[in-house]
Amino acid sequence: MSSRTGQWLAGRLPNWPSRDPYLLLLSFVLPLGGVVLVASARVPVVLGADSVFERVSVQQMVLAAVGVALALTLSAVNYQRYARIAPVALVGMLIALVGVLFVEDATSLFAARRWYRVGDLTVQPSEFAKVAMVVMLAAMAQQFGGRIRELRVSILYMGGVVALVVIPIVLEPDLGAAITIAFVGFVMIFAAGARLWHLLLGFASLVPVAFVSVTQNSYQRERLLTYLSGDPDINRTGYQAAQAQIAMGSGGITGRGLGLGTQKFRLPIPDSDAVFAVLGEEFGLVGTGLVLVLFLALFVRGIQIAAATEDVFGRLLAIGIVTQLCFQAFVNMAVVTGLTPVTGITLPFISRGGSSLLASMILMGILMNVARQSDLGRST
Amino acid sequence: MLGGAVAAAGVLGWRLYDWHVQQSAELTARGASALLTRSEINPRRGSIYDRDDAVLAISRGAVRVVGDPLAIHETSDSFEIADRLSALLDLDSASVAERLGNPSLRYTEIARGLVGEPAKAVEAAILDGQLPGVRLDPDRVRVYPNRTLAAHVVGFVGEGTARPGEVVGQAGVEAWYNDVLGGQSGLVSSDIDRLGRRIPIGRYALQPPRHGAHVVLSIDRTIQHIAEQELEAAIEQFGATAGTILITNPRTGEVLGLANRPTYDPGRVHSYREFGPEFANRACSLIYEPGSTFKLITMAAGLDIGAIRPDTTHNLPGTVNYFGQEFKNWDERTYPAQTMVSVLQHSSNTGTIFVADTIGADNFYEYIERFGFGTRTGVDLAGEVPGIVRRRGDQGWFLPDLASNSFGQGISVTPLQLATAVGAIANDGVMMRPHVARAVTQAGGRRETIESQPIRRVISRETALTLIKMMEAAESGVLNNLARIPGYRTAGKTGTSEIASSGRFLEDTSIASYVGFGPLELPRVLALVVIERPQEAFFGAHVASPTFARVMSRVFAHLRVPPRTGPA
Repeated sequence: MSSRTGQWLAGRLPNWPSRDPYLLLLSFVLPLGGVVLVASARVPVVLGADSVFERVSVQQMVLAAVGVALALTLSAVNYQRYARIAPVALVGMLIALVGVLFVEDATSLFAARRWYRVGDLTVQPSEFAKVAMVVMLAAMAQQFGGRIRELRVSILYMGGVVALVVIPIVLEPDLGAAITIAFVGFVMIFAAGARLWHLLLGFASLVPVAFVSVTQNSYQRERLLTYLSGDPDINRTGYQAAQAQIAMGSGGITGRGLGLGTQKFRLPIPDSDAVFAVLGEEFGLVGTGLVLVLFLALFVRGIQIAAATEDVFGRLLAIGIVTQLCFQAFVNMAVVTGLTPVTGITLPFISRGGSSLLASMILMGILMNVARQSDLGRST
Repeated sequence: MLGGAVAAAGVLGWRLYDWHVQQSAELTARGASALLTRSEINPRRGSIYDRDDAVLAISRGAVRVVGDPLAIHETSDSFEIADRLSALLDLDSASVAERLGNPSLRYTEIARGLVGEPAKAVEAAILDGQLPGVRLDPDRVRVYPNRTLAAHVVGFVGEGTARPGEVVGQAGVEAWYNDVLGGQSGLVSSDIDRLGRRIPIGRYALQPPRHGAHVVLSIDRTIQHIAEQELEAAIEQFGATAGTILITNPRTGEVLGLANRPTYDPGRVHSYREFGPEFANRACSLIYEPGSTFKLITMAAGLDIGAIRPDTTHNLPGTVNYFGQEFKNWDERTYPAQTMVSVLQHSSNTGTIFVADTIGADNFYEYIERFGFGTRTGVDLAGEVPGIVRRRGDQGWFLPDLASNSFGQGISVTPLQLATAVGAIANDGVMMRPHVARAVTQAGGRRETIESQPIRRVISRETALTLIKMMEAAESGVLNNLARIPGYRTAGKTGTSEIASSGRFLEDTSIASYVGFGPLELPRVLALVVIERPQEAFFGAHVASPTFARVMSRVFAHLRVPPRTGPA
């Protein structure tokens, strides 16, 4: 991807903050698309409300602007500084994750405890815990170096960090987020050089956790059974999948046009988990295909950056960041398209939700700085 | 790693292509049909008026108290709301709380058909902000401002099954004219969201409902009131269990008043535990043995055939044996060499047996058929029954039945059938079809009159006039005749029938009745009084005659029928 066009573009951008044209493009396009889609997906809410002013859409707009500014600012911050503050950040996040389990929130769906209320806003600590975990694992890989091949290091120390983050999230319960985070953790440990069988051992240890979670939470069991039955039961958990399918089919190749989708009136959470279906109805295959390509491009660019970074900390940061963003995006799209069981997971950058958007933009900012210090960044 | 990502993207991409392109047409169609719903709009039901346009039944705007349990759950406490609502509406707080406490619902109905004070109280509380999540939806309620008045004519309504909120007449005029009153429902088809609300950017089509027409009855509110009042008084006075007073105009067949006891309040039907005897329209839905009132029919047949004349004389034995069965006069007395007038005067059973025997069974039953017994009159009220007549040749008919039928036993009729048949005598021999509606006013204001229809000529004009003279003469011969109305000429006949139960006649209980009409100068009011199981007296002459007299004199006064001139 380090094509001539890329170099040409980078050469014409100002020196500050980032000079990676791909990351810059994605950092603007994805949140901006999210603002537009969330506004469209919230039309049912606006029409039902007394006022035309739509608080959440405006919030999303402000957060996108804040997020872009945050990413650009962080791109100028030397990522090496994070290695020292990573343990503190992780501990802080773990406290927040455990604390959220004791918050009584009557408005939460499925009786899950996932949010803190801060005035008008809700903060979802698991989103920021992902950032802390990625940084922490990268820092540990740097620290342990070759010792990563020891079972104690790979599974007990690094795997332990993953478990510390994942377990409170399972308890919330938010199995979808837990699985994504665990996956990212294992990818990072593997990329750091751990032995494959250590990782398989770690995965095996997660199976009982997932089993207990599914059996203890009736909605998870229902979702899984609905998925396994292959029969989208319109009235129950298969409802969302069926409505999403109708939305995407109705969109065809070019879509009905912005704001003209009708399925958002029937999808359960059109502005969050199912925003991809709204995109599919209003922009068709062109829209969903573009988003798929953008996330693939982000992943490829991240791997390129990792390959061009000699420093272990930076390399693993790049891998962890793009894996985190792209795997979550993949799971969200797979859920909407019925490829995996329904789980409540957002589409990074695009879905409504400040915590998710800001956490994603922080990751982008860090990635931009890694890119800047890599061979890719220096070569221009 | 890159390979895995590309593979995952490939799978997703294939799925996107499959749904967006390959299955697009089918999914679009599925979505379009899932979105579109049709719902019917209930039309406004027409009103029912008496002959002077006084309201007997009307649909009024009301409100329905509706709760949004999810909104209540999010903003306040369902128990608190339930307490306030149940205090305002006098409901059970626990059951209201149960309905409001299910946050998976967006709609639950707390009360419907609310008008007046309670509706205002709830509205005030909502405006005051005391009932978040509770709103008032428009509703309609059927109101019967005169309560039990003419309940069996007007009928009542219930909920239909075709669509929510559908109102269907269940009895009386409400049922018979249901299609006229009900109008036609409209149709709204629109795209809806998952909570059933219209999607503003979706499809929308409206076909407005056609509102129901109004029905104007022949019932006269004052005459109806007289019938109700006198029936109630007679039942009270004689300790009876039930009864019917039917007042008609024999010249047109119009029913002017129809009262039954027991009765019900059509506006409070929902508060009855079951459809008990109070709901039966005894005037046309229940049958009884008419007894001696039926002698008029036998006599009319004899006169019309020419087998007898008023002055035909015959010995009236106290007892006769007719084909093996013994029949007695009510007083078991023998009257030698009596005219047909005195047969009526003494209400002699053996006399009418003589008439029936003289004309023969074939003629007798042909006249019974012509007078409409055994078939429905065709009155415009729901639930009319045809009665039971067994003719010669029918299963269960035996030779002595001709004798018992001739004086109204062993034959079952409805009060309306008897009034209609006797009406033919009053109307120069032409029997008119009874009806309770005189006009239909369309929602636009166009009024269509319902014309009176003759059923058929039953007897000749001469026969009718002769029989009326005989009736008048017979009545004037009765000592202390309680049916007599000072200042007016009327003709009629008493009836006392025994009540058959499980094949035996019950001792000491009767159905006492009187049917008569007037003024004889030009009969335009006919009244039939039927009192069931009087305790204080037994005979029609004692129980029903005085009620007939009171009813007729009040009706005559109301209709400004001039008293006869000349000597009383």
